[in-house]
Amino acid sequence: MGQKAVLCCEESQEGIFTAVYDGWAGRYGHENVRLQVREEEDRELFSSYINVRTDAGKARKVSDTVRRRMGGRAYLDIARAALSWEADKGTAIYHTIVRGLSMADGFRVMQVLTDPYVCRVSALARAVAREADHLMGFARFSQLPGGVLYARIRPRNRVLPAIAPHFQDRLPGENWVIHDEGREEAAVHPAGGSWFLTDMEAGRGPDADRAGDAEREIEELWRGFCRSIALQERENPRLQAQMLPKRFRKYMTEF
Amino acid sequence: MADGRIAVGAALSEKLRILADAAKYDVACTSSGTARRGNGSGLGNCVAAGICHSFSGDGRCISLLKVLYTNECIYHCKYCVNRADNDIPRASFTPEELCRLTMEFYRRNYIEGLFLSSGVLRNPTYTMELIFETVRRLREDCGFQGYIHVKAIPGAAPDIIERIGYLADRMSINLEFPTAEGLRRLAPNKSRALILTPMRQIQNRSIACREELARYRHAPQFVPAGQSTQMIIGASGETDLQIMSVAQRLYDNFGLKRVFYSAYMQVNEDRALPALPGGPPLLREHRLYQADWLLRFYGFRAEELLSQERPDFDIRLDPKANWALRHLEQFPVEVNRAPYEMLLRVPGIGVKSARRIVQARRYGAVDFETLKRMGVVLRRACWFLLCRGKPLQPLRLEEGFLADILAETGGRVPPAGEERAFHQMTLFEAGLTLPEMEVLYGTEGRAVL
Repeated sequence: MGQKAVLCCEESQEGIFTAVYDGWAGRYGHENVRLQVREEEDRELFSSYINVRTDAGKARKVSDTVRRRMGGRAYLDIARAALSWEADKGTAIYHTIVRGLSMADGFRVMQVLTDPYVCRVSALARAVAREADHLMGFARFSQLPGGVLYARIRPRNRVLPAIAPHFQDRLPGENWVIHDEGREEAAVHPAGGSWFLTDMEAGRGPDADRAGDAEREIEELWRGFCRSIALQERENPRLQAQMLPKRFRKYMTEF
Repeated sequence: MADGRIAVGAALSEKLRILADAAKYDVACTSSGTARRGNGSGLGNCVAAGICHSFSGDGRCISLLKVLYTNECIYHCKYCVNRADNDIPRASFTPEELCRLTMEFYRRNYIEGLFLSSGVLRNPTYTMELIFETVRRLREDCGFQGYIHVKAIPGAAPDIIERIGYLADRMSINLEFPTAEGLRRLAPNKSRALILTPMRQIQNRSIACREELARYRHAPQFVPAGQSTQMIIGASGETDLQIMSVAQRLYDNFGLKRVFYSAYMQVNEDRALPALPGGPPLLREHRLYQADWLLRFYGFRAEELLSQERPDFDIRLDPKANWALRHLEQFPVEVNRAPYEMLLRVPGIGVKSARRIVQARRYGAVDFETLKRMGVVLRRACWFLLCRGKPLQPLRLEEGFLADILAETGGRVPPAGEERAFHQMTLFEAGLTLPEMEVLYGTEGRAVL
């Protein structure tokens, strides 16, 4: 058994894929490799720490290989897992790719749920997809003077790249901004154009409080609707909280 | 009726309050069944699994702007809050108002689209013409591509139903009651034939339209998300077997996408209606939804689940556990060899986990630890399973013993006051009327409907 190798990389998909490339090329022995996507306080003894410099070319090679040998479905799961907020995502992705490339038919890799790393990637991907699904429903735009639609969110996972295409398809003719306050980044969509990501500090986004009276009127109509549609005889705040966790409500018009 | 009528030009907020309140007893708020990409210029698209935008205080999903066009109704359905002789505020929207509300709510991502139902103003055809004009404006003048669900009124002219069907994603006609007798007694202006005729019309038109689509890619779509219906339970003395048999016939013979069940709620005092001292039968409704799920995704038939001798579910147990306890001779099941159809019948194993098991066992034996990671509810399933010939703990395949374990209440019927707390706890585990649940369970099972 060789020495453990801890590859320290950026937590983006590009960073993780670069580490996958370096981990492979470094010949540490796959069973010894761990990816660390964030700073950790305690360093393990008897492990060598390698800093990975994100390299678009290496990452591209890995993503091409994954797509070619493991297929679009597996690639999508891995890309989603890379958006997870969980710290072990890098290691799970590394070993899932190792597994996929060791199989005669790598397209079936995501079915090998008896492999704990594959199972983990699958679980992370589901969690990301679930939060993205939530926010496709729960994100709320308010219209600013000038007509821009502006939404603030604070998701656990980095869902912006997963939800922006949905909103681009849905609201093609609108100028809109979805602001992930926790990560201080935003997806911006110019009317008729394509969305892009940009840095945006919390509190530095457009001032949603400047929305005018017309906007307040629409918001009040919506709040009234939500009150009217509930059946008092079936009131059930616990079920409501189960379906719509409280952490989302801070940014929702009707709460 | 004229007394309560809101003046023309009443504030939009007041109309919305009245007409949302009047629509709240309608169950379905799902936006599933259509996948439609945006067209790059209008507003909106549709996602096959549907999207829940909010959840109201009762825990139900808000996906669509669910309103009545009008609650000025000439009918006298005994159970309905809008019946003509009730003294309540009345209002009607205009097509412009509904278009504005839908578009402004949709742009802000409050909703997936519009769910338009109505009381009967003058006559069914006249009312449906107003609904048609609303939906036509939304689609043609506003360029709205989002989801539209229209409730058809029994007795409307076939021509107007057909014209609306080419604009709506889903149509539904309420069955109202599981038995024709109940309908006669409680909805004197409606009859079984009046309800089934347009249901058949929509089904036939949909089939013809799919054939046209197979030949011409750009043939117009007719009700692409299919049709659904709903019935009130607990108001007309029907058995669970009657309810599930009707649901099964609707799925088999009318090609319905969904049947919704609505626990009867007492809004009118009427001698023809039962008193419900324990509140609406929510737990029974919950069991019916679970059984409905078994019909649609688990390959069960109504007559397997219930019989003339036992026409009602044991309300303590979910219907699958109910079935398993009466077929203990089929257990235990070896996880690594059992066919998919049998895995589906094990309490605690769902469609997703059964599929995962079948895939994973090709690459090695599945053990209990793996089952757990796959999402199998082991505390229920372990009593029916072997992994490589071994159980998780010694099995006791005895009806009484297992009933205590599988009863979600820990083996006792919840007293009336506790029923609600219990309901809240378990609602999420079973199939419900929410698009969210369709997301969890996947959509493949629906192809067979």
